[in-house]
Parts: sequence; structure tokens; C-alpha cells
Amino acid sequence: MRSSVSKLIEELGGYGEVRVLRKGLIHLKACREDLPKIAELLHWGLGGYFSVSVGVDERPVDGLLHVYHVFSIDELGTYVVVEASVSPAHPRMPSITPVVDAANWHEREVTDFIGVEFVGHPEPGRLILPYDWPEGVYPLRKDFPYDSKVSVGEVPDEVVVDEKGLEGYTKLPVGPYHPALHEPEHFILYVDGERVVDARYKGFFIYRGIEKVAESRLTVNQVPFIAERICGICGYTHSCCYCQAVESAAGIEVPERALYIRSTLLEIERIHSHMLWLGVAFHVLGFDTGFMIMMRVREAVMSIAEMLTGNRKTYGMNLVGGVRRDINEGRKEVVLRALRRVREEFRESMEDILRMREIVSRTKGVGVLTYNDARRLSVLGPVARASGIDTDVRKRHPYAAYKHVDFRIPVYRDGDVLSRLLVRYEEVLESIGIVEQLLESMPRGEILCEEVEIPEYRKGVGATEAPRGEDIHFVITGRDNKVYRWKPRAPSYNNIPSTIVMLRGERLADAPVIIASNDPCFSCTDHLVVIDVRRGVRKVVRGEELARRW
Amino acid sequence: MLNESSFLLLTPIALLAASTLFSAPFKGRAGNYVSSALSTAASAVMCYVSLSTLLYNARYQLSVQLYGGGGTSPGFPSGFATLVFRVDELSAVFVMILGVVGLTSSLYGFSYIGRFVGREHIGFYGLNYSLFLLSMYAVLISYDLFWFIVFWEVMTISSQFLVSYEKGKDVAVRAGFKYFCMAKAGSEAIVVSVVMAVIALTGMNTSFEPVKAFTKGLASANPALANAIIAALFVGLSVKAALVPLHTWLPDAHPEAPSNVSALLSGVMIKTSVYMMFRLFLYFFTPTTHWGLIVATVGTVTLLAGTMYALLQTDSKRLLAFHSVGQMGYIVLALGAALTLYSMGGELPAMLASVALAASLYHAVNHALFKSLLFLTAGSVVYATGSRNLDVLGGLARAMPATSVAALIASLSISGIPPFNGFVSKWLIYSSTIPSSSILSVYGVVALFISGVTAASFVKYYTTIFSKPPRARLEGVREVPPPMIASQLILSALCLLLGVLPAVALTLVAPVLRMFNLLQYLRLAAHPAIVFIDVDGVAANSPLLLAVVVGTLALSVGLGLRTPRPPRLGVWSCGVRFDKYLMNVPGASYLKPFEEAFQSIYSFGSVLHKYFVRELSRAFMNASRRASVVIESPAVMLAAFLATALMLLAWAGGGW
Amino acid sequence: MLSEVLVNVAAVTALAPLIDGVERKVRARLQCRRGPPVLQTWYDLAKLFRRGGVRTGEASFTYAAAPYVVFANLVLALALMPTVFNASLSFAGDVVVLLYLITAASIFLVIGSISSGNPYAVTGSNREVSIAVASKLAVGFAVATFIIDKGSLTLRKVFPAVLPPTASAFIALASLLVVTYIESSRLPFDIPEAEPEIAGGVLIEYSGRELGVVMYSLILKRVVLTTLFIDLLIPRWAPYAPLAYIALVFAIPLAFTCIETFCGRFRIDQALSLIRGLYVVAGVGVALALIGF
Repeated sequence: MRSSVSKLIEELGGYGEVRVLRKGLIHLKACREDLPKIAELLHWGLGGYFSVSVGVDERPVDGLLHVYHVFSIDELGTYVVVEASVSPAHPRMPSITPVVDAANWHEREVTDFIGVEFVGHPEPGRLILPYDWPEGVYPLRKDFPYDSKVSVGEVPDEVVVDEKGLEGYTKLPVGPYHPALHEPEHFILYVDGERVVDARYKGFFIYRGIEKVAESRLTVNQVPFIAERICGICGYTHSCCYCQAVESAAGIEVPERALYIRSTLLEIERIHSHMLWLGVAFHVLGFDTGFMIMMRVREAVMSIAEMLTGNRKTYGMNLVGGVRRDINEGRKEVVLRALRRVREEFRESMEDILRMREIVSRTKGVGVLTYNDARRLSVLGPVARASGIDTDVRKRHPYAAYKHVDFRIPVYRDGDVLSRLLVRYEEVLESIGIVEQLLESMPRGEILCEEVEIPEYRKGVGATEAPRGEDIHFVITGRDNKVYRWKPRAPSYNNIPSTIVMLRGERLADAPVIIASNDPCFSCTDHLVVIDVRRGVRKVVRGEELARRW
Repeated sequence: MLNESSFLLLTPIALLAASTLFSAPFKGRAGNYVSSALSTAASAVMCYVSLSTLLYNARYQLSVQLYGGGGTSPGFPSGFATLVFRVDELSAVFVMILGVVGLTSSLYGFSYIGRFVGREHIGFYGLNYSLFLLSMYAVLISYDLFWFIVFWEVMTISSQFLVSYEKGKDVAVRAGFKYFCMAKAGSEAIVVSVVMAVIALTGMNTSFEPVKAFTKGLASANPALANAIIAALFVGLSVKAALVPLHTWLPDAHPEAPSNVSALLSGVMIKTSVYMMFRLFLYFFTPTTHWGLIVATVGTVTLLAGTMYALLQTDSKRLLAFHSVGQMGYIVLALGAALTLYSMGGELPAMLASVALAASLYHAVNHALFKSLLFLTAGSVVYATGSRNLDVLGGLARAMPATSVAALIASLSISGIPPFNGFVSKWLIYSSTIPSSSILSVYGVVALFISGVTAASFVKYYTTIFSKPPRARLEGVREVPPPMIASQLILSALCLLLGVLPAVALTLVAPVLRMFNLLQYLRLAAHPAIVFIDVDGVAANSPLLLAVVVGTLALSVGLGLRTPRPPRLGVWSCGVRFDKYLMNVPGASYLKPFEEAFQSIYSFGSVLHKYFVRELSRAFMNASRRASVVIESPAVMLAAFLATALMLLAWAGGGW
Repeated sequence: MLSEVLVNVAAVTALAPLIDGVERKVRARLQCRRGPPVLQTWYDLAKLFRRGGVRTGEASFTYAAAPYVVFANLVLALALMPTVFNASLSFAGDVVVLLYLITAASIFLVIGSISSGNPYAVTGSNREVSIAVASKLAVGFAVATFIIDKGSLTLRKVFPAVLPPTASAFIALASLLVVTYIESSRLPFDIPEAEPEIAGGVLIEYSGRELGVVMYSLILKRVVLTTLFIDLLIPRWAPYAPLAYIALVFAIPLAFTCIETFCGRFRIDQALSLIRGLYVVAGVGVALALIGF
């Protein structure tokens, strides 16, 4: 498919008004009836993938509710934002989920928070809002103050479950409290002896209302700090992503040195995240010694981060337009030496561990996600790369300083847990190489663009390759130094649904490994409004909510 | 003539005959009450007869000339003329088994058969049940080959009617038919061999003692004939004893009968074949090494196959039926070991032989006790819930406490866990086989392994019924009526008694060893407070002591440490309110990894079934189809009839 | 005599948590950690004994009785073997009794655990029973080898197996060593309690004192198996026997720990196929014993 951007614009032009917002970002204002056809074209026809859907209440602006579907056309290094709108009186538009499975959760979230109904959605129903949330109250609408108290309804005691064909199998709950999980989520495994026949998932237990808070209370430059706290492992990538989104919307040029610093810290984050994941994976496989080894090696990486930023994890380095603090030149040598040692120890330990029969035999051929399923569900990051999809935001939509460095993207075809392990293993080694290159070739200069003007109601998309996959933030700038809408979408949001596909037919003993192999960052996924309800835990799966097709 | 002892001998027959006649006409409950009461009484007398024979050396015998003058007129009918009943030590052990199990089953039946009121003809049950008990008793006390066979056939027919008692259930009817066919085939083998022996005798006197005189000499005079007779009888008896590969009727038949009848079938009827095997190998013929090894090998294969297949079952009674097959393997293995060791000669083998023989009889007694107890508990569960399905049942321990305790005791007994009876008899089996330094040692180890598999299987049996949560709440489950509890209690107490005081059982078994001149090697040492079983320095054991120690220790630690009034919460389900019924683990998935690991055994079994059973049955079907032409054509039929009649006349007439 | 037996049993029972503590320390050091103090297992058990247990609504008397019965079984098993002093409750045929006591411990624990009504307990119990039963054949072959060699069913006459040294005895000892490793629930075989996989398995519904007793029993089981192996190895009448026993009862678990530290966990089917391989080895031992080697 040797199309070019102009050809793309031409094809899209048939559906509505096309605007190039900037290089790598195309905006299409379409008629809502055409959405399924456009989705078909972008996800399947042109070989792109569906990234995120955003619902925005723009009634103060034009009296309508807007929905944005964002697609990435990897080949052209372009994001396509498809916009459609409905009137609040008849908030219905066609669903694109029948065409693109991956949009399932996204559309339901929009329904929950903005109140747009997607006609033809195969499993409509509450995704994130609790069951006792009153009907007709949509938290992300502009007329819902962030500090309102809502009177909750009756908590249903027993929720009927759609388990066609699954009677007679034992139901085993995995979570919310389970030794294999590090954040609360709820899987139900239907087992026959030691085989998992099917699974169901319910998450979104720990919402913090970050988007609403950001819109209502925070200034544009305070948001990076709350973004960093979305996740306990990959916070910096969210903060970079947000800044990039705003910079893209407002057309701000970030100084070179700041871009280098951002990239360095992003790679450091990737290294420590992957090492943490490897340790957890070994623990789940019963190999605690492996966990201890990984933690020991990772400790050096945390110290490196502290040397560079003053903090081990939440770096607090980003502002819109650049970074806040500079890197001490004198520290560079120390950091490079430490990195070399890290690389040595890491490689040596991993080579030994990968020779262990128990590790290999319990990950090879386990939890397979085929290429087709991966495409259908739009999985991202190492999960996608392990299933044969050659995608990486750093290469396809180059951002920060990545166009200046040389690195490989590991891609494996088998789609099993071992492949995901190997992808992450190689990525760590590549990242170490990237950091070395960045540190050695870092240009001198400014670190922050001081003169920053942010016009109102501009749309921007920022995307980074987080350790878990493509992280994408959609921003509509507002007035009074605030954002009008900010939608962060963590990669795990797209990846978690694939867990169910991977679990089918596998042994019970492998279930925790498979769940973990997705590297699910549930904190990242749960970032939306919920009321702190003192409700009892309950059976969580519900009717059509469950992805029969997953 | 009739004296007091022969009167006692006949009392059970009289009672049971009365029961047959008087219960038959009643369609309703009365039929059950009559037959149960009379059967219980008859069983009690049987117990008395057997115990007095074993403990007090009483002698019971009766010889009746039914018709015709004495004399030696050789001829077909004269075999029927004499009816000899006699209880010797060997029969006494088995009569005791029949008495105990019969008593408890009849007691149980008082309430249990109430299930069938309105659905089936109760009198028909009473008729067959009494006839069944009567025929088994008569089989055991017959001292004449002809009458043995006659009563054997009656036993088969009456039990077959009991198996297919629930006429409405297709499964039951088919199971009964299959049982009938296989049993008949087995019986014909016996008849053929007996007829051969009789013809060779030309004395037409089929009473045991004359036969024994003949057979003892036969082994050296005409070994081929002797082996042929033994082989034919062994095969025929193996069918009824459910030894692999002739066992296939049992897993279908035993579950379908009413549960107290299942107890009798598994507990007593299959032992009547073993009784005859004892007679065959020890009384009629002298033990030889090669026959001993054949028997031991058959026993080992049976215990292996029966128990492994039991793992796959999800029907409570079918699981028990497979275990019956397996446990019969233990009894036969011990018998084979005894035969082999006896014929090896030498001090140590003779000692081990006596232990093995004692073990075989002891295990027969034990198996009767715990297997019938198991069937009775399964029956109680059916009575209370209507289900035998292990996938669906669960959590009955609180609703049926007495039954659950009985089931636990029975499960521990059959698994061979001290201090119950199964442990002692299995211990005796290992003590006799493993030190023998022969192939029997390997058989002993296999038996040890299979006892572990048995334990695993019964963990499944007990916990799927009583411990794990059921698939859906079971409504209206209540403990069973007193007669059923009482019968279960009697058997549980006996299991415990024979476990902690093995001297009791060995005292009862000793006379049999004396009968076969093996007693001097088995010593029973009784000390004031602690009872040992001592097998002349090779092995000794004190289950009572062990039980006391473990019990005391457990109790003291438990009382000291237990949490008084612990808070009770729901089952842990990872912090989510989860319907516990949905978390039910169906019986089918228990032990699946183990089954998968031993898949090779099951595949081997299927291959054997495919080639051995199916091809054979196809061959027979073809042959019988060709033979059925006789019935189809009147001319051929007439000709065959005339020919047969002429032959019979010639033979009976004495060959003029 | 009886007093010596009591001292034996009490000493080893008291020693068992200490052995476990040493194991934990060594494992920590191998993982470049400092590790808990050596008495930590004692502190953990004491903490558990201080707390009352909680149980499910479904739990029946088997659940409540099981921990204590298991513990008693194992203590009795210990009494059958000489440990520090050359004294034990000995009677002919106690070999079989010993095996049954160890098996009975597993069976009772499993019954008690399932009685709580938790499906994770059922899953864990199935695995435990599968492994215990499967390894029983290997144990049977090994023990049969010793019995055939010595011609006796009494432990005291079977100990030590290495004198006179025969090929079959060594093979049997080797297989017994492997089975001891497996039955001690060591990685890669600690499948029944696989914490990340089935949230504790057999132990899931036990808490407080009952959990303390169960954990103590599991530690004791390891010591019982180790003691069996040691008694088969060293002659009891030798003057150095008590010291050798104490040294070995620490050394063998430590050796196991070193192996265990570098292992991940097997899946149940992998464990079972390894055990099946063991049958062949142990079977060879019996065959040799029968021939006379």
C-alpha cells in the first residue's frame, strides 16, 4: 500500500471536510452515518489501527455533543481524528464496534460519561459507572460540577450473568484480592478441572476522577503533574504525552535539549518498568529468586533516575513547552558507567534464566494471541509486537528526540507469553543503548520555551510509546489557562480485553501468567470518575456486558 | 435325621421360604415389612450358626435322601437324590459374612424400600430378596456339587430380578440383562466342568467328600484333566467374582439395584465365588505354583484396572461398584499368594502362606463390611436427595451427620487408613507378599500403590457428597430414618472393632487355617491391655495402641489450641460477593491431572476392549445367527429334538 | 526406653521450625538478601497460635479436627524412627505403618481443607493428592527393595540400608531421596500451595491457630521424611550417630534449599511425568533386589 498523505486526504475528502492540523495529524469532520464506513477504511482498508474514542460535551461551544474517533495510520506516520456530532436531544450515532472490535469499551465509556448512545453496539451497558449510579446523570458533561454529590440508588444484590453454554463449569474468581494481582481487577474463570474454558472481566474499581479534576480545577501547567500520577510505574510517559498534545494543539516548538531530556527519561522509565514486569512474571511462575535478582538489578536504574532528576519515580520534570530542570553534565559519566553495569548484569542473569526448563516450558506456547486477533482488538506495545505486528510510536510517529537515535524494534511471530517476555527483554537492551546515545549526543541550549501562548479550543493529539504500548492523549485547549477536555488513554485499555482471548483453552495454572503477560497497568486504565461509594463487593459480571466475541 | 443342630441349620431356610411365600402377594408396604422382618431374623440365625461353628466348634450337618432307594444305580437323576448340607470352617466364615450383611441390609430395607411404594410391586421385591438370601445361604452350606449349581442358578435369577427391579428405568433393565447373560455364560462353564468330572467318576455321587477323594488323586493321575477342570471352574467363577476381564457386568448391575441389595451383591454374592475358589484350590486340589501365580496375577490386574477405572466415575454407586472389582482383586491376590507360597515349601514361605490366607479371608470379611456400609450410605444419600450424581451433590455433612460419619468411617476403612479394618487386612497382604522375594513382591507394591489410589478416590467420594458446596441448593435434605441409621451404625462399629482389635477377626479366621493345616504359623498373642497380632516374628502390629496414641495426642493438642467459638464467614472468593454454588467443582474434574498422567492405562484398556470384547462378541453373534436356523425351520427343529431325545434315553437307560 | 522415645520426639518436634528458619536464611542469602532471623519460623508460629481462627459457614467437624489429627499422625510417625537417641516405638511391620501414617496425614489434611467448601481448596487438594499418590508407587518400590534386601518388615531391622552395600539399595536410596524432595513440597513441586496461582490452595481457608498447626505439620512432615532417609543411611549403633543425625537433619534440607532456590514451579502435568520417570528407576531397584543384588 504505497499510498501517500495526499492520497489519504483525497479518500477521506469524500466523507467530509478534511483539515491538516499539523504534520502527522489530520482532522476529518464527518457525517455520523458514515462513521462505520470510515472506520472500515481506516482500520482495515488502509492497514491502520483504531486508537481511541473521545466524547466531548461541546454544548457551550456549538450546542452539540461531539465524538472523536482517533486512528493511527502507521505507514504514513499520521493520526486521523474523525469527528462527528449529535444534538443532545437525540444523542444517537452508529456504533463502529461491529466493524472494529477494539472500539467496544471506548464507545461504552462515552455512553457512560457523555451520554451518547451508539446504535448497533453488540454489548451496550455500563462499563465504568457503578450499577447504582442514577440514570441520566453524565459526569463528564459540563453541567455536572466536579464536586457534586450524587444520591445513589439501590445496589442490586445478585446480578444475572450471561453464561450461555457455560453451565456446569466451575467459576473461579480471580481478584479483586488475589496474590497474583497487584491491582484490583476481577476475572472470572470458567474451569473444567484444570482447563480454563472461558473468562469474563470486570475492572474499573479504582477511579479517581482525574479527567474531571483536570478540566475543572487545574491550570494547563498543573495537569502534567496529575498526569504523572496516573500510574505508579509509567507516570512520566503520561506527562510527556499530555505536554505533547498541548504543544501539538498550540503549535509550540519545544527546544532540542528538552526533547533529549524527555526521551532519556522516557527510556529510563521503560527500562525499570520492564524489569519490574520481568520480576513479577518470575514470581508468578514460582521462581522467586528471579524476582529478587530483577529487583536488585533494577535498583541501579532507580538510582540513575534519582541522579538525573532528583526523584526515583515521579520525576516532576515536565511543563508544557519543555522541562523544568536540567541534567547535570557532571553526572553523565556516572550514569553511563552505571548503565553499562546494568546492561552486563541484566544480560547475564536473563541468559541464565532463559535456559531454565521450568521458565521456558511454562511460557512457550502458552496464552497465544494470533495476529488476526491482535489486529482485531487493536492491541498495542509488546503484546502486539509479540504477535507479529510491527508497530512502535517511536518509529512510526517519531516524537521527542527519537528521530536522532538508532534502535531496533523486536518483533516475534508466536504470540505466546515467551514471545512477550523476549520482546520486553530485547527492548530493555535497546533502551539502554538509546539512553547512551542520547546522553552522549545531547545538544546544549534552552530547556523550556518560556513564551507560550495557548489559543482557545484547539485540538491536539500527543502519543508516546509507553512501556506497555501506545499511550495517546487527546486535548482540546480551553480558556483561562485551562484545558477544555483532556482524555488520556493508557495502552492497557486496549490490551486488557485480549486477555480473555488468551485465557481460553489454557490451563488454570497458567492463568495468572497470562494475565500478567499483558503487563496490565490497571491504575492507568482506571482514571475516570467514580464516587467513593461504600458499597459491598458484589458479583460483578453482567448480561451483555460480557464480551462473547472476545 | 433331624436333630437340634440340623434344625438350626434349616431355620434360616424355613424363615426365608416363608418370607418368599408370604410377602409375594402384597403389593404395598406389608410385603416389605414381612420380608424385612423375616430376613432379619434369618440373618441373625445365620450369624449364630457361623459364629458357633468358628468359636465353639459346633457341627452342623444334614443329609437327606429325597427319593429313591440307596444303591448305586448309575444314572442321571440319582445325583439329585441326596441333599447334603454342611457347615465346615470355610463355609462358616462366609455364612458369617452373609449373616451380618444380610441383617443390616434387611434392617435397612425396612425404611429404604418405602421409596418404591406405589411405583413397583413390593411383594415382588420381597419374593426375590428372600429367595436371594435363601439361595446364597444354600450355596454356602451345600456340600454337593449338583445342589451347589442348582442354588447358584437360583441366586443368579433372583438377583437379576432385583437388579432390574425398577422396571421403568431402561438402564436398570439393560444392566440386569447383561448381568444375566454373563452370569449364565459363566455358569455354563461350571456346569460343563462338573459334568466332565461326574462322567469321569461314573459314580454319579456329587457330594463334596467323594469328589474330593477323586480330585486329590487326579492331579498326579491325569494332570491334563485336572487342569482342565480347574481352568473351567476358575473362569466360570471369575465371572461371578467380577475379576478382570470378566467384570464388565458389575459396574452396570450393582448401581441399579436398590441400595441394600447392592450391598448384598457387592458384599456377599461376589464372595460366594471366592468361597468356591477357596474350595477349588485348597479343598479339592492341592495348591500348585503355576496356578497360584495365575491367580495372583489375575488378582493384581483386577485390583489395578478396577481401581484406576473407578477414578473416572461420577456416579456414586458406579464408583463403589468399580471399587468392588478392585477390592476383589486384593482378595484374589492374597489367595494366589497363599497358593504360591504354600507350594514353594520351606519355613518362611509356609509362614507367609498362612499370613496370606488369613489376609485373604480377613479382607473378604472387611470388604463385606465396609463395602456394604458404603452402599448403604450411598443409598441414604439417594433416599434423601434422589441423586447419585457426584457433579451435583455436595455439602450434606450438616444435614445428614450420622450418614456422613458412617461414610467417612467407611471411606477411611476402604482406603486402609488406621485404625480401621481395611488397614489391618491390607497390612497383612503386604506382610505376606513383599518379603517373599519373588514376583509377589512386585504385586505387593502394586497393591500398595493402588491403596493410595483408592484413598484418593474415596477422598473424592466423601468430599463430593458431603463437603464441597453443591451445584445448587439441595432442598429438604434430612437425615434418614432410624432403621437405616442403625444398620449403618452397626457396620461402622464393626469396621472400627475389627480395626483396633484384629484378634477378633483372626480368631474367627483361624479355624479355616486349621482346616488346611496352616494354623501353626499364625499366632495370636493377647496381652492384658494391648492386643497384638503376631505373625511369628515376621510381622506384628497393634492398631489399638496406635489409635489410642493418635487419638490422645490429637485430642489434647486440639483441645488446648482450638479456637473457642470461632467467627464464621463466607467462603473466601477474592473479595467479591460470589455465589458459592457457582464455585462448585464437579466430581468429574477431581483428579483429572492424575487421570491424564496415567492415560496409557486407560488407552490400553480401550484397545483391549475393542479387540477382545467387540471382536469376540461379533464372532459369537455371527455363530448364533447361523445356529438360529434350527429354530426357524420346523423340520430341522423336529429332527434335532428327536435326536436329542434318543441320546438322552440311551444314556439314562444305562447303555443296553 | 520410652522416655528416650519421648525425648527423641520432643527434641525433633522442637527443632523442626528451627530447621525451617535456617533454610529461609540460606535462601535469602542466595538471593543476595539479608533474610529473616533464624528463629523467624518460631515467631511466625507463635504469632499464629496467639490468634483465633476464622472459619466458613460450611465447615464441618472434619475441618476443625483435621489439623490436629494430621499433627498427631506425623508425631507418631516420628516416634517410629530413632532420631537423636537410638530408641523408637518399634514393632514388626512398622514400615508399612510409617508409610500409611505419612499418606494418612495428606489425606486427612485434604479432607479437612475441602470441608471448608472453597473451590481453590479443592483444586489444591486434587494436586496434592495426585502427587502424593503418584509418588507412592516410587516409594513402594524403594521400600520394597529394602524389605527384600533385609527380609524384614521392621524398621529397626531395615535400618541402615547401606550395610551391606548392594546396588539395589543405592538405587532405592536415590529414588527415595528424590521422592523426599517431592513430598516436601519443594519447588518445583510446591504445586498444592501455589500461592500466585490458586491463592493458597490447600491452606486457603485455614487461619489463626489452625493454620499454625497445619504449617507446623507441614514442617514436621519434611523432618519425618528427612529422618527416614537419614536412618536408612547411618548405622544407629555407631557412637557418632546422634551427632550425625543432627548434622544431617540440617544439612539435607539445606542442600534441598540450594536446589530449590534456583527452580521455578512445575505445572502439575510436568510434575507427574517426572514422577513417572522415577518409577522406572525405582523399578530397576526392585528388580535388582529380587535377583539378589
